[in-house]
Amino acid sequence: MESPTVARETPSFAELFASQYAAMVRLAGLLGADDPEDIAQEAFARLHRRTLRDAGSSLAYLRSTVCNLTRNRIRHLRIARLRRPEPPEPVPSGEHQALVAEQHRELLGALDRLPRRQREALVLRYWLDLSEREIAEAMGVSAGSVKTHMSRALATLRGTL
Amino acid sequence: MNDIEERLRAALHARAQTYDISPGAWHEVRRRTERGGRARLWLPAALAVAVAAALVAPAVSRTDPPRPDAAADPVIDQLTAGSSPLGGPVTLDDPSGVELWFARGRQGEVEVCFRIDRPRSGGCRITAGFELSSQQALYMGTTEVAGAEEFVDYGVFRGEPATVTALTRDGSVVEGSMEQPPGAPMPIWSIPLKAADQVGEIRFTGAEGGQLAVLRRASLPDPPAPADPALTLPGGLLAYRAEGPEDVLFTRRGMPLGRTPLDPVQTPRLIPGEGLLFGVVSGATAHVTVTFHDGEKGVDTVPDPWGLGLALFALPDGETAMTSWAGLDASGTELWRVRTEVDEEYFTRWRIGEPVTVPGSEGSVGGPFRLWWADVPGQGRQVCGTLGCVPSSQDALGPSGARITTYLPEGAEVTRYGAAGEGWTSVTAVAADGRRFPGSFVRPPGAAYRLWFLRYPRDARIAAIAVGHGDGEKERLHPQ
Repeated sequence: MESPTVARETPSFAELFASQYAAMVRLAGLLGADDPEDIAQEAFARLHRRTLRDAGSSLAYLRSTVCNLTRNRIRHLRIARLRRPEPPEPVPSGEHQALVAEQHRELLGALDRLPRRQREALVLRYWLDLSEREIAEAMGVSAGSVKTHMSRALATLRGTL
Repeated sequence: MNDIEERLRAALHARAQTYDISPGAWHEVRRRTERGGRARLWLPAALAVAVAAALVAPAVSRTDPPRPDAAADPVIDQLTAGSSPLGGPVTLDDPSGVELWFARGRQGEVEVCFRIDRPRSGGCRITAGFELSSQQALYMGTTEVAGAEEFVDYGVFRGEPATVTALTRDGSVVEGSMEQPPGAPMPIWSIPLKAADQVGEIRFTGAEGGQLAVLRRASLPDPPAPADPALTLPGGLLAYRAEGPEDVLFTRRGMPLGRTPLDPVQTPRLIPGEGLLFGVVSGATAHVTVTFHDGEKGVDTVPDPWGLGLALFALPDGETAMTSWAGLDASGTELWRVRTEVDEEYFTRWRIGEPVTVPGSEGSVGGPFRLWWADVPGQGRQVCGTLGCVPSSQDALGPSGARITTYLPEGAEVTRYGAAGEGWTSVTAVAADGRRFPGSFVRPPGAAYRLWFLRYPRDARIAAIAVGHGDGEKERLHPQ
């Protein structure tokens, strides 16, 4: 539907925004941010204020910033939400998303209950299709830790479902 | 890749689609960087930005050009017609005469609807995306118009009614309210605001004082140039140039709905939002048709008022998924066609044979549902449906498989399907109250194996699936 973006070795900030903004919002949301757009906008704003030594590393910087900001935000909210009631079960509805929700509810619920690092590793691997090295870079941990987080997370999910 | 990984991928993909993207995001990022005080050249990037910004999200504009007189706009009637109310309406204390209510749509989906008298506007929004998200409060809109000193913001909330407040520029607190009429699935919140208060956030607090949710009021879309005419489109939609003016911005009752670039050689661009489909096409395009799974809709385009040789359009969205849209010239000759079929490639990579349609699913939301066999590398045969694949356990273990809940006009149903065993002669869902819901088998063309499927009302408590083997043996019951 849209015209293809002209391929360049180093995308401009605007091109990066155009191609990656939605993905960063969704990454923040999948990681559990309560306001994913706020996280994504702040990540882009920080990128814009920063001069990266390697211009090609902008995307990695964005991913890492989204992970960090989301982590901080969740930590901040945890105290405020200690007494928060569990959200009610979704009422039936008919949109395509509701049908998808019906199928995936159990799995997504189990994912949400995973420890934060394990959830991050799974989202980065199975939604963004990142390599272990890229996941490690985004999470700020070693590739070995990524392997550990992933295997524990998958084992937990298998045991839960 | 094993089953859990495949399911995880599909589940994350599905949840990711529930996060809305605000059309004002580019402006918000720019505002933040300017606030940071570091001067840096902002590239003229309207085209690139619009690719991301031409998405739909609720957001608030503090200024908007004068509204069109939508007194005789059949599209607005179409947007709120055909739904059955769930509970009574909530009328907000505002001169605009805004009224909100929940409804069940034509195909069973829960919607929240609004109607505003001055200027006339209305529509319904399906709540499923909100329910699937992790958000507890949903911003639906505002009655703010250009120059208004007072207005009301409103939306819906999940969970027990909470306290709604906003902090004004001078530090005072404005209180809103929540109301859940009997029969309504969730509370409707509203808060009266004044333009002078410059409220940036709306907060939701629980009974014990804990903060439950915060909604930000988004930054403004660029107002139109004073001498630049705005274009009124069906559905109370207003289009005007912004950002340079290299973009066209679409707004409705003060809400930015989408932004897309104005190309010298216009690429057809279509944006969905608030039950409408709208966009920009080349000036040679006199008519736009949109093809859905269940039919086609069309509308004549309107020439742009800016002398750019382009055309704009707006028409009501369809009931089922869109498969393509096309532009025709004045003589009816098709000039171009854009295919928008849902990306099923992910699920159809390893398909064996042709898919079959689940009988009776044609009228369901998101339907019709299709089933097919797939040979997934490393995992063998799987039963795949429109929404994903499940392993085929068509051995002696009995009926395992996937289920799809559909919401038909006659009532919600569950459809279950799976791989049929070699000797199976019948498959029946047995409810706890003794009711039996017989299923049937189908062999997709070109496939060597059969699939079973059965349907039952969503409220039926299924105790077992009974499988007949046709060898004189009684049915085997497989408890659920």
